[in-house]
Amino acid sequence: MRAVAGATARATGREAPGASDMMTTERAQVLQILRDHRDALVENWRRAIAHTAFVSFSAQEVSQHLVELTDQAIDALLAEPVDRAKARGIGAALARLHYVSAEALGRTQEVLARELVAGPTDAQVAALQPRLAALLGEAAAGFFDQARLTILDEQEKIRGALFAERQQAMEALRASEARFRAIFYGSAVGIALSNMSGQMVEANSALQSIMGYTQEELRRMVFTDWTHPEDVAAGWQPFQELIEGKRDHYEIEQRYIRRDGEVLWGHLTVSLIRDADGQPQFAIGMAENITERKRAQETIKRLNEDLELRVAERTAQLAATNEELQSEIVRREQVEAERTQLLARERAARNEAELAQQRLAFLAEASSVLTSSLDYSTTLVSVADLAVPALADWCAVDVVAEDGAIQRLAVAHVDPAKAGLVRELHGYYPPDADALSGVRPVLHTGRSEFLHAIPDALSAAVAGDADYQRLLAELRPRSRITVPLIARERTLGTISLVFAESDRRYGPADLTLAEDLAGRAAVATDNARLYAEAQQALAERDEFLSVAAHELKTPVTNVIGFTELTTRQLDSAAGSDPRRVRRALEAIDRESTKLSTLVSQLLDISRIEAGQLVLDRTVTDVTRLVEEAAASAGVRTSQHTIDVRAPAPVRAFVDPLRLEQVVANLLSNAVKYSPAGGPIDIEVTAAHPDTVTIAVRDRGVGVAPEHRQRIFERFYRIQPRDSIAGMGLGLYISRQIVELHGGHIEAEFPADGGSRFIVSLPTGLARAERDGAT
Amino acid sequence: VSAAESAGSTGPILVVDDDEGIREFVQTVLSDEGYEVRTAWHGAAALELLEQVSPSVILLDMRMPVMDGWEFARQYRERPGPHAPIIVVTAARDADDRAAQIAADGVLPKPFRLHQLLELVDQFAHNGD
Repeated sequence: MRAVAGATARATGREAPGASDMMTTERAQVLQILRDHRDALVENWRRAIAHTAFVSFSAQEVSQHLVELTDQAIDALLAEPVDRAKARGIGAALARLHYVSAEALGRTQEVLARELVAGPTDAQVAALQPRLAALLGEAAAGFFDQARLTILDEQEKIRGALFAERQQAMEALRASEARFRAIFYGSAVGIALSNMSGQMVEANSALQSIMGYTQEELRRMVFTDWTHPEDVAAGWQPFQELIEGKRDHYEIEQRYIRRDGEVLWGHLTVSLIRDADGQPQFAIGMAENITERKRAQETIKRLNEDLELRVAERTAQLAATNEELQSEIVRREQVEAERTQLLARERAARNEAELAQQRLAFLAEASSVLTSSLDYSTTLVSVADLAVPALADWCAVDVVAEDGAIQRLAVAHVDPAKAGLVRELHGYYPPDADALSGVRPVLHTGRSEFLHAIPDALSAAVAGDADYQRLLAELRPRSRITVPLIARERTLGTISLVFAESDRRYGPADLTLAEDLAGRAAVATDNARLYAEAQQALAERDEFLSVAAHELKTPVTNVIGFTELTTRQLDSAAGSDPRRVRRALEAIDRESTKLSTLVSQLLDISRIEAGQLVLDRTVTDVTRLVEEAAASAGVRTSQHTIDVRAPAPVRAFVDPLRLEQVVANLLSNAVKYSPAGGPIDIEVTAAHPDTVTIAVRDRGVGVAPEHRQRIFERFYRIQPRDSIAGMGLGLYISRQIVELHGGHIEAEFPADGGSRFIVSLPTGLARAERDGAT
Repeated sequence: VSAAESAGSTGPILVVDDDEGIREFVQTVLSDEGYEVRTAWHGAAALELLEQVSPSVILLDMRMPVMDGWEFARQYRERPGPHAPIIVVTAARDADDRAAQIAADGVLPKPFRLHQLLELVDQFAHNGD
């Protein structure tokens, strides 16, 4: 119920009556508030007695009853002075209503009392019961008193507040008017008030100055009077809307015509001023002379347009220039590209030329080096040295020796310490490594091999011993060319060029160069070989002649000497001694025979050298042949005994004259090298059906161990100081004859002195039968 | 009067040669002239002989079995005592070279005439030490 009073206190007045009507107005205000809040009030009442729900009344009846009671309470409340009796009555009625409601619910007054007074004891309730109705009436009256006082208090406050507000409003109005005046009259902007017909009411001095009219003149004019005729329509339209309340203000720029006829540009702002009732009262317009600004704008606009035009022109020019530049750039780029291309081509050509020049120079140097020596191995060593480092990190020259073996003749390496490894590598090549070395395949095919990059896989594939792997790991071949050394359609060997350390790779040009080098090296090598062969042939011929002369000179000396001796005998005054003459003639005969034999031997050697020593085979009794040779030799010596041991006829298919020559030579040597005489044994054996051996044993001086290896060699190989001259011819020829028969000859030097020469010959009888010989 | 006798030479002429014909011929010629001649068929045999005799002249072949002329000359020169002049008798083309190699006193290239042998031997036998 306090809330009702609060709500009342917040009500504000609406009408603005005179001071005398104040109380009446307030009363009406309060009443109105209470009415306005009646529904809330009723609700409060209803809530107060809700728990007693009027079963005997309908909801409508309760509401109606409450409305009436409330209205009565309000009237009582607002009575002046307050009708306390009436208020009490209303309180009683409410209590009764409450009470009836309670009874209808079967509630006791006790309960009701409890509900009205919170927290009473049973004794208090019991004490209250008899006076309950009176108490309720008192309570209601007290309540109304309190409400009344509160309302009055609030009324006072409202009144004070209203007065203060009015005072403030008056002050504000006064300040506002002062400000307005100051603005209106002091402003540099032209300001005018017009009525709603557009007629001037007031114009400030600025406007007068702008328009050139006086205040009085202006007051007789409508603003359209000085508006430029062309702008009048546009100027009137918004003003019309202002009058019609469609808008509160507008702004417009338009031309005015001054009193002196000059055309001005003005910026006009018009606002509507309403009276207190909100009705349009005046229009206030503020006009600013913007002629200069406008003119400036025009100028700017013109300038802008001009500028834009020029910009457009310039832009067009620039675009054109740009296009030109672009095309020029493109052209220059093309030219530059062409130039670059040309430069690159020129550089490539120069490089190519330089490379070609280098190659030529290299080949020229190579040729000069290659031809500077006619020594075969020197030539190839110089090839290897030439190739490194220009053509290779290492180079190996392999040649095919006479026996077909591949010999690593020359090696060069940029790191001289590694040259040995390259040489060693050759020794380690397992057959699988052919793919890696290239030497064997190139020798076989006679075609170059070119490995741009030696794949690791290839190295790895050639497994094998650790040493080989170690060598590969140290030498690290990366790229290789192996070219054959071919001269006169014969593959002499190979040159292997390898890139390792420098990590270079061979290209086709390198291959061409390598082949060229190899070609020159091969020719040079071949020349060196030919030269060496020619030199050797010459040396051999020389030596042959020298030895021949040497061999012949001794018997010739003897023949001459004994002849002179004989002549002297015959010329002697004392007369010749026939015994001495005979001895001399015998010596001449012996020496002549020796000469004849020597000449035959020399001819034989010539035949052997020319491959023209041909056997005239026939089935021969070797035993008999040996016996005859022994007999013949025995005739020439008195100090030796020649003992032949041979089985019954041993037949062999041989050249009897040549075999006799062999036996005679062996016997002759046996005699010669046992000058002190002694036994000479000659033994024929046929231990094997297909082989016959003839062994000649003397007990002479033998052969010094250092000479034994070479006794069967060609005489001209004997060194100048060699002391086995004379043996050479015969033994060499004997060996050739024996070997032509398919046999072999060897020498033994028994511990008890002397020599033993053994000739082994195949009997060749099967062949004899095939050839039909007997 | 033989050349040898007139020379008053003390020692024999030593002929060292592996060719029997030469030995026989030289021995015959020099013996006829009154020289005493000893022969050996190689260097080693000659050195053996020198144990017994002290020759006035040595005629030396170079190429011989067992011990050649070079080795003989070296060993002979190493021996103490007086040394007979050595005349190299050789069929080699470069006879002078060979003589020079062993610092021989004379050289007699084969083939030689009888008088050449005699003149050379006479010369050294007379001037011999």
